[in-house]
This record gives sequence, structure tokens and C-alpha cells, in this order.
Amino acid sequence: MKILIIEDNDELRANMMTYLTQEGVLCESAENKNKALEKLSAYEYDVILLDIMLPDGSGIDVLSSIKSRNIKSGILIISAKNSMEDKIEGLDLGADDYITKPFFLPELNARIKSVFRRKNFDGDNLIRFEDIEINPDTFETKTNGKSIDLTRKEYELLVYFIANKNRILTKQSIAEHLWGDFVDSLDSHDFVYQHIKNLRRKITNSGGQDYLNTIYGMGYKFSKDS
Amino acid sequence: MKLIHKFLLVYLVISLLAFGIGGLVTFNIFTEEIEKETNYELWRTVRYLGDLIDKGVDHEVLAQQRIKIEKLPGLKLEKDTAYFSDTLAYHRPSRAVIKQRRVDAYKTIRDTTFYISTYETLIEPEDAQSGATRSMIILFLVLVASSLVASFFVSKLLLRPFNESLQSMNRFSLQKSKPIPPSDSTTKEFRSLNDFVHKMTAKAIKDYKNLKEFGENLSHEISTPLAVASGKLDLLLQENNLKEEHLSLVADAQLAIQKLSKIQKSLSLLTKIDNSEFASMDKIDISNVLNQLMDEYADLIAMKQLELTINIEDNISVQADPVLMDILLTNLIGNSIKHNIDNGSISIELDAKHLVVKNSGDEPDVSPENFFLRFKKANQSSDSLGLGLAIVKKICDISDFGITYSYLVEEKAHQLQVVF
Repeated sequence: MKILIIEDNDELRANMMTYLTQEGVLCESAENKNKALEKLSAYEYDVILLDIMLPDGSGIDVLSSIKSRNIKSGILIISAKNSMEDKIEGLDLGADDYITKPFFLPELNARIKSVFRRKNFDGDNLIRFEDIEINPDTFETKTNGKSIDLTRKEYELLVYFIANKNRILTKQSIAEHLWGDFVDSLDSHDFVYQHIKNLRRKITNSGGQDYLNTIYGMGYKFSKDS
Repeated sequence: MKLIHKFLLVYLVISLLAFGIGGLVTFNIFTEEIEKETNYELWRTVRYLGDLIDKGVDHEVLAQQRIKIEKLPGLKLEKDTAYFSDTLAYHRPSRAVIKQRRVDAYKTIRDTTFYISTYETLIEPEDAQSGATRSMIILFLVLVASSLVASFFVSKLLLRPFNESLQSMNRFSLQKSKPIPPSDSTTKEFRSLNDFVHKMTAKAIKDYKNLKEFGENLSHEISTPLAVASGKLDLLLQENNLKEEHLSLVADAQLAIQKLSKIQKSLSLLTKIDNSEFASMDKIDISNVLNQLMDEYADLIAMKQLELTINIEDNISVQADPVLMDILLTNLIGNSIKHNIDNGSISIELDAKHLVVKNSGDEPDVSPENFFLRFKKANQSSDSLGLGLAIVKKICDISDFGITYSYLVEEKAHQLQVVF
């Protein structure tokens, strides 16, 4: 997967590039509107991360330009403004998703993968991890070919884990992924724990292997080797 | 009491005093003049009688009831003299003994001195007094009446710029960011008052704008550094050689950043509501929204083992902004889950007039009216931000909904009621 990160803040750009490169994503970056338009006219990308506030213009302009040139990349808007209008305008103009600063890098990663999957119509759309296979169109989940019946939250949790496999995910990032802004003081730890427990039980009950590792006091890691 | 009425009252009290003194003075001058005139008349009578005697009329013939004439043969006077005095005498027209003016004159006619005395009615002092009083009273009444009429017009005309300023001050709102315009009144005081108000409101608007901008900038500019910090921590977490205690330090730092970001988001939401950035008025099927929300959080309710009683009537809709309505309902339901006790209960009722959300919980230490203030929490040590209900209140205010909080002691439950 090849992506273009359009973001003017050096540090934030570096964070995203580091995390995504570790995921095996090929990253290029542009720090302003002109550089972005330059790169977009020369190369093709699977996904474009687009900051709305750029030093030499609005990301919305870049978005219009992408759409007018019929570029087929998935577009994920990054905004510092938690503003509904920006969100609606961006999505109306053809962006695929919208994420507000600050965000967890695993969340960004999961969103990029989801945008990529949605855009990648031709290819194999299944999400796979070892013996687990998920069909994101039908929400069907299988281990070793055997169907598991997951609730929506459990399904979202599993997809999130697989998107960030081999990574430590904090309970906060999981809670925010599952319940969004709703979690501000929920006993999110207990809730996340409950869901993890159920997911783990459902997978092992149907003969699947338990890839969920608890990192004490911290969170969880989905990985083959514990 | 209106200013003009106070003015009028003071003016009339002073006028009353002035009229009293004026009446007294008038009366005195009046009686003095009359006395002078009467003296003159009496002296003329004396001269006339003298002339008659001079012409040979016998003085005894001339003497009658009011006139006394005597011959004083031995007396020689260098000059005619007259003495005036007051006397009491019977006055026929008034049928009473009243004060009259009397003259005692010594007049030399053909070398003989005559004593001539007569008296004449003055205008009765009582009459003069009552005349003066009456005219003063009439004048005063005219003054009162004309003052009242004048005050009406004066307050209409002269005080108009003042009343206009007052009205525009009443209507003044910082959000509209329009200062009160300087007045074109010709009255110096009103002009300077209005100029001051103009400057003050312009300054208030400027300060408010600055403050708002500061808040907006802060909330915007803070999000990128927060994202940077949070990203760095995410990267740090992935380092393989971190020990458990390091991981927990990172986790705590993440938690703090997350909390900061939530505060920033909530405050910026409050600012946006204040700036009326959510002004659309759509018909929203809240039964539907509420049912979806309950589905969304069913897992949380189940995990907390809360007993849920739902009584949502179908097809209830209200006029409101869809985004705000969503936030309002999410916050209400969220609160009822968050601030609940284990094995507690939640009850949600919706009909055309109200939405009542009730949840079990301990009695708060904060008084109910403070509940809707920012950063007020039922329990100050709690982890929540204390902004949820402030947002709920603001949304209700802007959508013209009423909201009340009460703690039901018997049921040990918090109840929030939104009236559409």
C-alpha cells in the first residue's frame, strides 16, 4: 500500500510515517498544498491523508482537485477542527473518512486500512490473520473455516486488533475506537476487559487460537507469539 | 418614580413657597397703594371742602355724619397740615364696624384755621387678603396644570435621546457584535453619556471577540501538539525493550493527553454553540435517534448489569439542530450509565412533551442548580470532566427546551427532565 501524507506539522508527519512504515506501508509526504498537488500529478497513491489546514491553502481545495482529476485514491481527512461543517463538506466532496486531532496512531492505521479495503474493489477484500478470516462486507468471521458469531462491538474489536497486529494497544485507544467520544470517564477498562474476555472465549470455543496477549496495566497485543 | 416627576415635585414645592411669599408681598403692596390712594382722596375732599368754605358756604352746613368741620379762631398755622390715621367706623354697605381711613386736617382759609376731619372706606383688608390668596391659588393651579402638560412633552421630547439610549442598552448583546451607535442628541449630557456607552460597548465587543478568538485559536492550536505528543507515546509503546513500569508511565501520559483533548473538544463545542454555529432547525424523529442510541450502548448497560426500563413512544419529533440533538441525547444517556451504581437501574421515558431520564445513584454533594455549571461534578474526585451537563443545558437553552434536575430521595435516583 502506498500513501501520501499531506500535513504541515513536521513532528506529526514524522509520527505517522514512522508508525505506518513499521506497518509496511510505503509513505510519501507533502508539507503544503503546492507540494501535494505536485506529487499528486506525478504519482498514484492508494490512500491520501489530508490535513485541512495547510499553510498555503485549504485541504478542501486539494480534495476538489483530486476529485476533478478523477484520482481514485482513498481519502482520509485529518482535521484539527472538530467541526461538523468541515466533516460534512469533506465527506460531500468525496473524502472516505474523517479523523480529528489528536488521534491514536493505531486508530489512524485502522482507518487507513479500512479506507484502503473499501477502495480496493477488485482485489481480495478479506481480512486475514493466521487462521482468522473476516469478510468486512458480510461481517462474517471464521477461524479455521468455522464461523464465529460475534456481536458488533466484538467484531469491531477484532478488526481493530488485526489492523494493528503485533502492536500494543492501550485500553483507552480500544475504548475510543469502540465507543468514540462517549468514553470520557466510562469505566472503559472494565468494559474493554469484558469485550476482550468474550471475544477470547468465542474464538477459543470454536477451536481458534488465542492471539490476545494481555500487557499488564497497559493494554493488549494481538500477536502470534506471546 | 420618574425623574421628570421628581423634578416636577421639587419645582412645585418651591413654587408653593414662592407663591406664599409672593402672596404676602402682593397683599402688602396692594394695601399700601390703597392707603396712599385713600389718603389722596381724603385730602382732595378736604381741599374741596376748603374751596366751598372759601366760596362762602357755611362750614356748619357742610358738616354731616362723616364730615366734621370746626373753626379754630385762635390758631395760626404757617402751613396746612393733615394727619392720616386708621379708625373704626360703621360701614353701611357691609353693615359692620370696619377699619376706615381718617384724615384730620388743619387748613387756613381766609386767615381762619379750620379743623376738617373725614373718613373713607378702605378696601377691606379681609377682601384684599382673600383676593390675593385666591389669585395666588389660581395661579398656582395654572402652574401645576401647565407643568404637568409640559413635563409630559418634556419627557417625550427632551428625554427621548436618553430613553433611546436606555432601550439600545437593554437590547445590546455581545453576540450580535454591534456597538450602540453614538447619539446625535443636541443635549450635552446625553451626548456624552451616549458617547461613553458607545465607546464602552465597542470595547466590550472587541474584548469579547479577542477572548473568543483566543479560545478558538487555543482549542485549534492545541490539538496538533496533542496529536504529536500522543503519537510519540504510541511510538514509544511499540518499543520492545520497555519494562512494565515504563509502559504504565506511558499509559498514564496517554490518559492525560486524552483527557486534555476531551476538555478541549467539549469547550470548543460550548463555544460553537455560543456562536450559534449550530443554527439549523430540522424536524428530528427523536424516538428513532433514541432507540439507535440505546442499541449502540446496549453492551455498556448490559456489562454494568443495569436494569433498563424503556418507554419510548414512536414518532416523537422535535424541531432542533440534528447534531446538537444527537449530542444532547448521547450526553443524557451517557451520564445515566456513567454515574450509575452496580446493579442499578435506568429508566427512559419519551412522549410528545418530555424526555425523562432517571438513573439510580448516590445523592450528590453539589446543589442541583450548580449541576449545570461547567466543571461542577457531583463528586469532585470523580474522573468525569464535569462538562456534560453544561453542554446539555446549553443545548436546551439554544433549542428552547426546558431542563430540570432533581434527586429522588425515596428512589435514590437522579432525574433529568427535558421539556420540549
